[in-house]
Amino acid sequence: MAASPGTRFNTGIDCIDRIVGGGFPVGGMVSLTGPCGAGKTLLAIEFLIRGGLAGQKGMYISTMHGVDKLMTFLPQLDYSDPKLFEKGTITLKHIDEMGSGERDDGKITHAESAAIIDDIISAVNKEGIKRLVLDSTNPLMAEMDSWVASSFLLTLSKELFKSKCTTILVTEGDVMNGHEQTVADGIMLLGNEVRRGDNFRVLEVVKMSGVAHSRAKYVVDMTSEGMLTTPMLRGL
Amino acid sequence: MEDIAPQITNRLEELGPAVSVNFSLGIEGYFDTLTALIDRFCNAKKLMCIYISVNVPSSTIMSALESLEISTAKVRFVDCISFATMENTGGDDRTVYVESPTMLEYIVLKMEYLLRKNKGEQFMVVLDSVNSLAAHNEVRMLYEFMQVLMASVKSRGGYPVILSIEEQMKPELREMLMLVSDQMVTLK
Repeated sequence: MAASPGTRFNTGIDCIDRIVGGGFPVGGMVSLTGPCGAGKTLLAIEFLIRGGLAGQKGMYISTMHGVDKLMTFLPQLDYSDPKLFEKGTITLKHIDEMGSGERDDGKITHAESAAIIDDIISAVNKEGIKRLVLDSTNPLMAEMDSWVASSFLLTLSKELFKSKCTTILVTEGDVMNGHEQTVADGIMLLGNEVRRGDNFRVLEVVKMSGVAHSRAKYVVDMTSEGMLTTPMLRGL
Repeated sequence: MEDIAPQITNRLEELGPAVSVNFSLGIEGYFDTLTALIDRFCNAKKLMCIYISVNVPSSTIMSALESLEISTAKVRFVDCISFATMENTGGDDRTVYVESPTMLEYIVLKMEYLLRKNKGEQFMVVLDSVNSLAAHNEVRMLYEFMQVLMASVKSRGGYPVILSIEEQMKPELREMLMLVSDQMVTLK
């Protein structure tokens, strides 16, 4: 389960690595987009845990719930090890710990966005973080003017790449032309698909830089043993 | 009618794992088939049995096995019918539920889940029955599903077993079964 050398970053989530052709781009930023309840946070957490089990440090930055609430609401994950959190292999932070927390008329200014990036990168470099999750980008983007948001994500992407820290940006909703998708090196969609009245949770990889990835739709099950996928049947 | 158990166990012994077998049986031979597969074959060989129940709720099968004093310690169920019929769907960690027999992909995923949960176990997968699944799904969809299921079991070295009920067999279903089964066995 160790991370692969070279340009692909083995996530350790077997089904994802198969679908994206070996893993994410090393130091790349992957947008994970979908409606609420699609399983985005669980997938992002599994990304950190699988890394932690392979000895890679990870950091989860929440922009909404406090970390205590997040830990309380996580389902039982049999593949995980509580020591990963206790020993700090995976750290959980809130975005309020980054930057000064100052807002100008409710807006995050360009200067404040730069301060947030500085704090994130400083934590990444200091702790040797190789996996980062920002969950979700929506509140941050809502507090930034469009050009500030675009600049924030571009700069964050460049700095994380320099640090070889592979990142998942969790974005809520079904918009595919947001700043996150424009900047991202990979785009994965988690959503729902209805077939004859049955509701299926599905995953689709829209983009993954540098690899010939699968374009099929996969039915997803989030289990205590981790994420499982199987190709969606067509019945043609 | 001949004794069903030796027909089943001898054929499975002869074929070995990773060979998909369709056992075509009459309704009257249903419970004999079930006990032969679970007790005489799986329990005897210490195999985990993943039993995909579409025909009868898992609780009914479990009760039947227990009343016959057959060990169910290594039996795991993917129950595709109890949710749809509003039966009790909790309290037994040997059973995982699929909301509807039309959600075929989740049958594959639940099987995968049970295999992960019981890593390293040698196993058999029994689909009971293809006729019941055909009552809920188009044959083309079912064909695609059966291919995925059989390939998945075979690639892991398990014993893939399909049960079909002779009296309920439609020609297009038989044709599909011939395509996905390596062996078609009619129990007499």
